[in-house]
Amino acid sequence: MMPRIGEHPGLVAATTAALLAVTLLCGCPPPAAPESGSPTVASTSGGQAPSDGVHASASVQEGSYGDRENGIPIGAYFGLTGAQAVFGQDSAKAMILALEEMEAADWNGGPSIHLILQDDRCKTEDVGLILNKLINDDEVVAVVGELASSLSLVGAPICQEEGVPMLSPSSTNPEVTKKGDFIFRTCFTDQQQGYACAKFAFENLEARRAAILYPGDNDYSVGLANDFTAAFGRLGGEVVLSQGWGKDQQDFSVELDRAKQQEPDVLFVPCYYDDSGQLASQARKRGLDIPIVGGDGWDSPDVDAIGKEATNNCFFANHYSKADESPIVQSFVKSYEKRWGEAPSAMAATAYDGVRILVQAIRSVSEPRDRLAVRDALAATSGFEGVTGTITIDEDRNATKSAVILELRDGEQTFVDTVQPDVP
Amino acid sequence: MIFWLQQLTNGLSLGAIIALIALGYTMVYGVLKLINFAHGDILMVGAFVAIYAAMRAAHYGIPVWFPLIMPVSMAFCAALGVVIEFVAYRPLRSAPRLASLITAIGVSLFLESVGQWKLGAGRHAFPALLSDHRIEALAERYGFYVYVSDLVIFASTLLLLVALQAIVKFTRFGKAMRAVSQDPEAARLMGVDVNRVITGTFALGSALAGAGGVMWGMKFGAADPLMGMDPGLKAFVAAVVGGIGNVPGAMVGGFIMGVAETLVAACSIPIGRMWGSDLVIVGSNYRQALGFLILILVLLLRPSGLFGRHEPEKV
Repeated sequence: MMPRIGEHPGLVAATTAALLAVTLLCGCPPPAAPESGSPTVASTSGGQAPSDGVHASASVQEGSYGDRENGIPIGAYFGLTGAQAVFGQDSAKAMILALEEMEAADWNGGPSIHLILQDDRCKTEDVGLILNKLINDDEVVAVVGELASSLSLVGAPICQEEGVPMLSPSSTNPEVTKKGDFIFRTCFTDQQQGYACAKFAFENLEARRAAILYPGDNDYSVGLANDFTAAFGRLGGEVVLSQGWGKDQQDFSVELDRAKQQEPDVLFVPCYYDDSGQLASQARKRGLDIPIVGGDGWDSPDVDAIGKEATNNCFFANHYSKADESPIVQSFVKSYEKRWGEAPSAMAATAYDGVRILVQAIRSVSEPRDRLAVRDALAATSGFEGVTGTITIDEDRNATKSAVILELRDGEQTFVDTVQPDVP
Repeated sequence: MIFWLQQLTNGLSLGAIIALIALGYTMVYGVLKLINFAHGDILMVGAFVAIYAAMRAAHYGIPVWFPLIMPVSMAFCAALGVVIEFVAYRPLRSAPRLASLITAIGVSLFLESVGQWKLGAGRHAFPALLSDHRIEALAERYGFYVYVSDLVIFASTLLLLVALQAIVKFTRFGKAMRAVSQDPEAARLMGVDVNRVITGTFALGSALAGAGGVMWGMKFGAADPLMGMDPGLKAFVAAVVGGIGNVPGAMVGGFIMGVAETLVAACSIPIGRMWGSDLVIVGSNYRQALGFLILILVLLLRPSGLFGRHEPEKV
């Protein structure tokens, strides 16, 4: 039968157009954050977040924060929606809090700051577009972001090319800062983190045989898996299996069965929080009751929400512990809880430190709109007392810091140990 | 040996779910010659309906039980399928086929986006609708894990398949379906209500997607708004491999996809040494490529699929 074109041409065209329009509207711009029906608010002055009272699950949207008229513009790009949106949200919330505090206290004196926050939906393809806008339209002095190494690795060459200082608060992959002398990080690297996990597994858990499972399409996970392998071998252990899994995979039965065959003492799973709970529960179901160790990508209540009792006997390395007694940590935890109605995650802590270091650098130079001067001031950062430890930027533009190991016990993160960095 | 037997079991239980989803593709194609790309997303809706139904059931003290929750999901998805057909596909019934195809992709994006908007992009825990008991005798003696839940999934898939075959073969509605599939124009002349048949087909296919969503969520323990893409794609390949439009073909295609993927993922083949280290082909890295490799091979050797009949293009 031939399709009868032209029987209802008008109707057909209209329906197609309407459906396409609906699709485009819903598919292209980042969907607004959950539980807020309004479309994304861009470029409105003042904080978009609830200004008074506490909203337990408030989420931050992209837009302008701080002194829009005369502030020194700085950019930030994070995944405020998308697969690891929790991390982006936490980072953005901590940055907004840090800016509000700094303005209120006139911290270090100097010019006010105008933060332009952009959502990259946790997608590499959005990063270029966003940085272009921030650098050329908003003329930012410096950029904070991304937290995910995969995305920072896309952003770093662009910032380097344009001569804009970029500071990643949480990307741990060593390659990020190797992109050039404008790229900084204020957290530990995967070398340090992989060593911390390996040392903990080898000494505290007394594991000698480790199996590694990781998402093979993620730069952070691949890098951390390699660094763990190197460190665990150096300590005298053996990695009996190192196996990647595929994009969007949810069925880990084969990978887990292969690991089980090797009879490991510990399972190292350097993935993000969206996979770890599911992996833990499938591992327990398949009779793998050994300890599971992860990296800082595990720091989210979602791990427990999905993994439930399977997450007992799971450990992960992190940037800080909110149970830390030191006054600087406790005052941060208190003010963050007051502002956002939830406890700060490690991503919040690293972002808080990161933006404070950047603002300190901007306020220390005589010409705050000079990107080169800000870069030099960032490179000179030394002995900065942060929530996540004392931060000194070394000649490779990295920060050398200790890592903490946390244990998941009935859904609670409990502090286990601090591992000092090992510089081989 | 036990390891491979275990992988075969894993593959069969994955294949059962893929087969179930592939049936929906194949039925809609058989009747409407439309590839319903929104099928995978209906599966996602089915999974979330189950999460919600389980929550409500727990709230009212009704046992959160698989045979109670699954029909709810299936019914909701059937209704959703009918609405989608009415709103998005029926107005385009006489338009060029490409328009319907694009619309199907549009519906898919629409469902995914609404899901992300309303539910957030993160993963949600899926309630345990079935006990995760394993057959202890096998587990202890051989280290061979067979789960009651997998058996239930397998059995319900077979049951749904038999029911579907019975509907297609032995009921008046099934006869009408086959007639519309052969020639909608002639069927209409013979007094078959073509619109009703198409609505019914969408309801049936979407109900199967809903069942697939519940099983997928149950097996892997989580659901998210984009969860439909991966099973949707695999089921589509399975339907084409089996010969799209053919019900037993879709089933066989689904099992082929599930088993092949699992077995390949379980392989690691050493291929020699280079620069002092072993070179190994790790199957797990290729598991997602494999489905498409099978698709290409089948299409090269049997362009109409394993069970499809070759029909000359009518002009």
